[in-house]
Amino acid sequence: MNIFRGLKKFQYKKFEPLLYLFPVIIIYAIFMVWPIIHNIYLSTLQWNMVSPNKVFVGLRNFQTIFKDPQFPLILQNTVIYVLIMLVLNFVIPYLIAYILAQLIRSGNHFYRSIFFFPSLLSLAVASIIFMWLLTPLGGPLTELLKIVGIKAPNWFNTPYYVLVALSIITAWRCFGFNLIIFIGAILDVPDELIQAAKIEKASDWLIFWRIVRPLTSSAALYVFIITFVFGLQYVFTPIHMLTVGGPNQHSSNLVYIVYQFGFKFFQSGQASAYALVSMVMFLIIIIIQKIVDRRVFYAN
Amino acid sequence: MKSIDFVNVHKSYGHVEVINGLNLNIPSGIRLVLLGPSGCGKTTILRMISGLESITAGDLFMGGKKVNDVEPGDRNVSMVFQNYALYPHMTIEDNILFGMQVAKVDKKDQQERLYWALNILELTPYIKRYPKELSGGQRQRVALCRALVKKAPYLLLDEPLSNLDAQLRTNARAELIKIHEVYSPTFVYVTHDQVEAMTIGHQIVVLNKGVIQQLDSPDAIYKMPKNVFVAKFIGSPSMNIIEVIIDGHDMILDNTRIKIPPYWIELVGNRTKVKFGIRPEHVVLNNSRGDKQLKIGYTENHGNRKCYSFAVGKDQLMATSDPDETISNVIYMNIPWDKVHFFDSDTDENIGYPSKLKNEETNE
Amino acid sequence: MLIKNPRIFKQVLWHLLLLAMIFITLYPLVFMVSASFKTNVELFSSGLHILPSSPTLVNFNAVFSKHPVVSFILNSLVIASIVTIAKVITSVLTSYALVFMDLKYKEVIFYIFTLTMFVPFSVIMIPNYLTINKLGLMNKLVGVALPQLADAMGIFRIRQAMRQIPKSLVESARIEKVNHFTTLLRIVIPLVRSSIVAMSIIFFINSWNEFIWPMLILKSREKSTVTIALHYFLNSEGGSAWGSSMALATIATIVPLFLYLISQRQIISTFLQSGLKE
Repeated sequence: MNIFRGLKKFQYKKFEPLLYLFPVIIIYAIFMVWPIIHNIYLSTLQWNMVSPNKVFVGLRNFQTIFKDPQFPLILQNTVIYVLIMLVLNFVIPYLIAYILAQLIRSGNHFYRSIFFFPSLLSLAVASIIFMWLLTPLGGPLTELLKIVGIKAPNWFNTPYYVLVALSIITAWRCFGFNLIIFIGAILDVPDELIQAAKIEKASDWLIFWRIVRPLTSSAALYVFIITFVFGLQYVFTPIHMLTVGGPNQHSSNLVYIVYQFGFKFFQSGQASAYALVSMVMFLIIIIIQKIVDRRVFYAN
Repeated sequence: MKSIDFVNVHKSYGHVEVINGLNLNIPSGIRLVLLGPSGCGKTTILRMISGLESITAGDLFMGGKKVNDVEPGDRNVSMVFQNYALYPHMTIEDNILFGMQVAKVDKKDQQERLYWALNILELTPYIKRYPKELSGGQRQRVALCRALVKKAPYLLLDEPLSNLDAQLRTNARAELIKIHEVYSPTFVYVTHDQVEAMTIGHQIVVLNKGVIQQLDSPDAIYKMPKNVFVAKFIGSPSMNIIEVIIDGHDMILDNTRIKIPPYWIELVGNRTKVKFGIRPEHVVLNNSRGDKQLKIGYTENHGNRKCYSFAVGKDQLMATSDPDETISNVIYMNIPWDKVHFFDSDTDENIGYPSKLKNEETNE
Repeated sequence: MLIKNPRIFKQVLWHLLLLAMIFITLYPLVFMVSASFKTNVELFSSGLHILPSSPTLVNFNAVFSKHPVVSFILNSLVIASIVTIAKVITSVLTSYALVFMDLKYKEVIFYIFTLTMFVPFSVIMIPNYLTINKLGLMNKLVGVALPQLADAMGIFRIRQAMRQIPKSLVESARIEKVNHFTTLLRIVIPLVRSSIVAMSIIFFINSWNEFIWPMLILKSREKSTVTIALHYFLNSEGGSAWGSSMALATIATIVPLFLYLISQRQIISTFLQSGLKE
């Protein structure tokens, strides 16, 4: 009897942690792990998501998308999105965070609480605001450019301009979040290190480049990754609301094209193949990050 | 000309005033120690010299030049921080070279100065290591080395030894003096440790609550503390200070009348109450006779000496003696009148010393 | 030169730069609110005038009369509430197990969770759509809520907060034979309360703002959320929808704005802790 109770107690102790993890495991199993597997399976089918008729085609969906003439365009758009976002949501917030955390004497709290606010707005709201801000029919930017004597382009209807406009919308919305991460990291750099450099007459830029940057490289890598990975996903909403991928697929990217193939062309096979391509791409980036991260210096 | 002058300097954070009208002259090339309990403003003063802390009002001169608005980098100071502030992502070599690289010192010159400093501090074997791979003592020496290569006319040190254990400190103190003597910068040293202050400083500034209590040589600070605060702060165990009543030529110490020599009575003047001070090491104990009979409260054995505590009215009196001396439970205290101090009861200020004693002092 | 002191001159420059950034940050919002109070005539003629010359509620009236805005708001509230409550519970339980319980491979489990944050939405979109369809939850609010629960941000942040708690506090509870659940409720949760508050608000706002997923699941207008309802104003290309779309966007912004105003301190400090230092 005693032994039996002891055994029960032992097992409960062993399984208790699993009890706490149980809800999250179920959710992740159904809505995260299974979909990834399911996606791989879907990428081997020719199917329209409705009909009972699923044809196994192996890797032919991948062949199709790689040969698809729009594939290079999608890839190019994706790269341009990433590059613009890296400037707007990585480089600039890094520098602004340094100014806020180290260079100004007062107002840090005021500035950062305002900068953060757009991060709490829906991208749908951001899209609709910028649609009107940029509209060629009497939008403020158009009017402003008119004063300077420049004719505003039709942002959402012109190749390349459309990428810039959509990136700006996403960057405006996400800037504050990255900024806060950078501020947190820079505030963690011990004050005396910066003071020691100031006594050596190091300029603000030199202190940033030689001390702050190396000591915050881990946070910087993290922001780099989220800018890359989330940026491409966030831009989905502005694309969908304002251009639906147009003009002529000139604003679609590796994430949006999955939606287009799935829910517009009803080709779940090619959609899933595109999805896998982007996942592999992100995976490579994250593996590179891990390797680099191991080499960069940690403050502690 | 490497002097530092504070002229009526104020510093406040918001409404809190930490330094209230500081006037201080630090002569060129000496070792000056700022000594005081935590929160006394000593680090603030050091950081005002470095320029890391701005001054709220008043003027600060360095080398005769007003530097109120001069950036830290333009003041030509080196600083050793309490936790050394070594750049964790740079090797020892790069840590030491950083300042010279910023100042664009000629490459050959950089190397020469690097090895010169490394040699003085015996750090040459470690140049390729990172700070985290060094012991506390070695890191401290790297911090000194970094200050040394710059050969700046002002060397500021903010409690540089407080993170070292007791054994290393003795060596480090000697090292600091050695470094000072290499090129004689004006050396400003912040500490709360009186032993460091006594051993390192040519001059000591004792601070309390942002106000200078005394500026003097270590010897004078010990022998002639200007007020009760300094008297109690310097020396361990700290000075006995007991309020006594003056009656004619006697002082009444806990109901015991003790005759005071006339040269002291002159100084006491018409005060009816004074604070009487005597250091524990100056109390002369005698088993059979003396000025006042005492009963031992408790004894502490410090190895090299014994400390006794006696109750004198509401106050405690401490005395030390040779550990081998046998002392009975009831004992007499004798007062060596050339080693006592009197402080005004109201102001806590030292009433001064008889000229007879001062002359003896200078003759020594 | 007015400013002789170079230190102050530099400060002024930085603040000017930052104020310009503040202008870029806030102008679109001011523009949105102001446009929602302008008449259509004024919208197309006002050019660069920021404030409406004669504020009007015409746009709000139009939105409320043409669309079931109250049900949009209710739908958004229901989904966001479900998501918030469920995510707080699961994140707290998971974080506690990962920080304080005896469990092998804790680090590996945590690492897998954080990796899932980087799985692109596009990968799970179609399979989850099929799953929700199979579960019969299409066009249902629960169907919108469920997949949103698979988000590791809460675990990441709350675990980080729990790691700041001195281990000895929980160990002393263990020695007193306090069980895990009581320890969690009485010791751990009170200590990480501000992080939990901040995360719940973030969960709520994120769910409120969600666009893609509700748009795929909710087909009928009555089931729409506020956020996806914004989409209705885009089909009538250009023209008359400007004012009313801005009115609805303003309505959609009130909830995040209000929540941010009451919890700004906690939210910012939660994200300031980078969580990268081990």
